Amino acid sequence: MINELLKHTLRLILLLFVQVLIVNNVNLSSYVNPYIYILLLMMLKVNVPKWQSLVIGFLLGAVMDMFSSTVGIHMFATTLLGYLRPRILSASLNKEDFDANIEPNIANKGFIWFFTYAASLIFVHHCSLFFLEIYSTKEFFATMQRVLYSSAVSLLMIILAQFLFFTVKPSDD
Amino acid sequence: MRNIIVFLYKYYNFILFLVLEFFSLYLIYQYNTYQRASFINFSNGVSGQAYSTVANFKSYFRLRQINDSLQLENARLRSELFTSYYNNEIRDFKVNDTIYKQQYTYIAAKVLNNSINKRNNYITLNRGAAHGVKTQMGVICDNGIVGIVMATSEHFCTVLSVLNSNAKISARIADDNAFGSLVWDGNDPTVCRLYDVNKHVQVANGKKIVTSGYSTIFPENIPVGEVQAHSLEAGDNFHTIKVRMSTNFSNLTSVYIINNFFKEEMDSLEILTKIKLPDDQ
Repeated sequence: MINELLKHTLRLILLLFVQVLIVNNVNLSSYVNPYIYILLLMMLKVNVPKWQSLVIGFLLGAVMDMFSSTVGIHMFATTLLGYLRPRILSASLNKEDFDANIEPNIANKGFIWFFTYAASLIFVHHCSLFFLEIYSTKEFFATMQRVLYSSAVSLLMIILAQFLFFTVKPSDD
Repeated sequence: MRNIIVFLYKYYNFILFLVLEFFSLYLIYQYNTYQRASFINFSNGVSGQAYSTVANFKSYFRLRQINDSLQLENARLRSELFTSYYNNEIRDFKVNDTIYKQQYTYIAAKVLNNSINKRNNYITLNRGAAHGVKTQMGVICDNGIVGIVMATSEHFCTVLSVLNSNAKISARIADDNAFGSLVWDGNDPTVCRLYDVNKHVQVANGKKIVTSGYSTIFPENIPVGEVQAHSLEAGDNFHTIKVRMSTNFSNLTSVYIINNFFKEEMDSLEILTKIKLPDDQ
């Protein structure tokens, strides 16, 4: 338990460091603002209780809000993720995965599963985040473009990070 | 009663979810109505410290650029010095200056954090309440406007960049008195749009745009940019003007916060007028 806590605290610091000091400073275009800090929430073990997932999401959003001079928009988006995550997991994993209490990463579940899992969560997060940021539907199509381009880049970065830290087992199943 | 407890127990996750989401929405709503949540002041202290460490590190790589811009500005200021003017006054006697009362002072500040690629961009500066910075003060750099102070902590402040959907700045065409409001449309950080300029005004590409001085935030005639393109739709009463910004937001380092001594007086007068108006009719 203590080990888990330590591991996730280190992950949080590393992800915040990368997000705030590196990713936020890369100006690709005004349409591309990747957010990779949600990887922390995505990679919690599958048996983490639903309320913990919610609270962790909420706190993660609060920290991110602090670093981006915004109030509440990251909080809303990450709490939504914290709510959806256990539901997506229970719909897409089988009983053995829950019994083994695996970490939902690319090494345990393979590329295709992780790709769908990450893509759906990233899309929901970016959607709520960008629309709350502009706080109107006036620029709907421009905002939608922002969501799509940013989601694609975030997904790419998150998958690259997975390959960097885990070795993918050959997909025989 | 028992049923309620069973219900609460069964759906406590969903209820917790709703509570947290409504709390976030409440904060967002408060923020948008310009009621500064104490959250942002608190977080300024935390993130400001982190950003200032990084900015220290980063500024080392930009020393040459900063030197160049400072040298330029020094040259400009030197040319405005009293000694570089020829005194055309024939009579020479001392007056207690009651005609010119100082209205603006400038607080120099360093940019700790800045973004240009989000829809709503914010800037963190290394000056705060301890240095006399208050909310709603204007921020400029040596070649143009930057934004408006949004929140302060003891040693830091957050600035609403001009590149933000909530920023609306009163500007006018330099040699004309036609004014409009300057808004960023979220695409190109070097281009803003000037709305509400009446159609009878002659607009030409390359004309200078400056601040109007109609608000208490920016003094008059601070450069904003120049007209890059303009169009007038048939049946429309107002020009749509694309303004190329003179401020380069991508490499902001040193800026000035404007302190307007008459701000409170002007604002309270305007509030008074707004309250009085309905009574007159």
